[in-house]
Amino acid sequence: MQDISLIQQVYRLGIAFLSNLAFLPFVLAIGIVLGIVIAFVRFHRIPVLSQVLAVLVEIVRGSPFLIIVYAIYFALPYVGIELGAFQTGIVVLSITATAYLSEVFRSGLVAMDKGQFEAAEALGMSYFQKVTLIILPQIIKTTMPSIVGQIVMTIKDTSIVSLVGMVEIVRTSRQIMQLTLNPFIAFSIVSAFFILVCYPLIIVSKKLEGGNNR
Amino acid sequence: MLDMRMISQYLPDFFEALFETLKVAALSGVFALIIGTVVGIISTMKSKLAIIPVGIYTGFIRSTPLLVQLYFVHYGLPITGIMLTSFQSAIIAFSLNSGAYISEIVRGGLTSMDKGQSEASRALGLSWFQTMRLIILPQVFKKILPPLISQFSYLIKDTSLAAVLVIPELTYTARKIAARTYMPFESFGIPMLMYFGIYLILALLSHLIGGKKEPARSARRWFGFGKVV
Repeated sequence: MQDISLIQQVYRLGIAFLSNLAFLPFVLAIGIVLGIVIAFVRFHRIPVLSQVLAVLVEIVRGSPFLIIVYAIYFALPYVGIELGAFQTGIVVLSITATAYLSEVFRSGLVAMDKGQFEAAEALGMSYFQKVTLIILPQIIKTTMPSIVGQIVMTIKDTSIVSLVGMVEIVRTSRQIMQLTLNPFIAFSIVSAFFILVCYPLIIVSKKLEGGNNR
Repeated sequence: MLDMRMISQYLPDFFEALFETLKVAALSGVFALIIGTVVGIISTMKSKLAIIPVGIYTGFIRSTPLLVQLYFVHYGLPITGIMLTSFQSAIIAFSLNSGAYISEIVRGGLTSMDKGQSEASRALGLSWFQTMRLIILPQVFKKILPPLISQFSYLIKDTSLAAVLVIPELTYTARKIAARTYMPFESFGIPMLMYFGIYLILALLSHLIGGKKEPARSARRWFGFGKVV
């Protein structure tokens, strides 16, 4: 049994938590861009592509995150792609975020008033102008609660990437636990870090939802 | 590309694992429903003494990863003298986790109920407990059945984390067979199809019970669930 002071534990776990958060910008950027693209492809019912994407999105949404992590981690070397733990994490988190966000944006598109499209058309806007100036800003606004919810989900899911060798907060907490033999303190600090980031986001998401309904 | 001999050889193992997954999910689901109903009722009370503990519980569950909750139960509880098998730890963690989400669904159902219902039954001389059991809860459950089914679908996916505690469910078995056969596509593809099948069945069920018109047409549209954070 080795003694690590509480402050040292908090410090080491805090540093490790930064690698969890480091996923966020990459995953969000990929997820939002691809999510919007998939949502538009499916909204316009582009033949074949739309159906293929629908099946892929549903398979990802229907599978547990852990098995997707394992599948990517074990299968990619077979097709000749060698990825480190962090890259695997980005790939897997982006796949799930894209699938969920595409569904969020698609529901936003479906719920939007048809008059918006027609009015933009009547003003002589090109398709690109229509999408970027009229449709996207509104959809981003109405789907904001779900986007924030997806951020929370992504942050929580980063913990699972520890299971394929990513050194992050949960893995570090287990190492500390094996030294101090006191799981309660280490896991409490880990929980505190997650609550510190996720709880405010959940509140924000709820507030936004309330604002939209009014 | 897919090796049919391997698939037929290991298919019984996968079905056994699927059964284990469903067992864990069903057991956790029952406990989660009990926890969720009790906590949900408590959360509609006015007393601060009731609301604060409930808020801490649901806030903690919603903002921390399930993996951390699982570790808390499995490695943390033995320190207090409670010895648990992996299976018990998994059931406790999944029940507490799902229970928190169900409590919010139940709470939503309860607050959407017309006040007149409870006032009328109180006026008829029914006690608070009778009012809940005979009048309020049956109506609430009928209303919240679709989101409850979605929550059960999430629970089934969450049980994959039981693989971490070496419980021979679907995800653990997939990994084991992948390591043994060196065939990751077959080993992970079959379980993913199984999870997908369950997900589709539950989605269809939730949709049909939700009383949506033209179920066949919506089924073709690959309906989705309302997402719970």
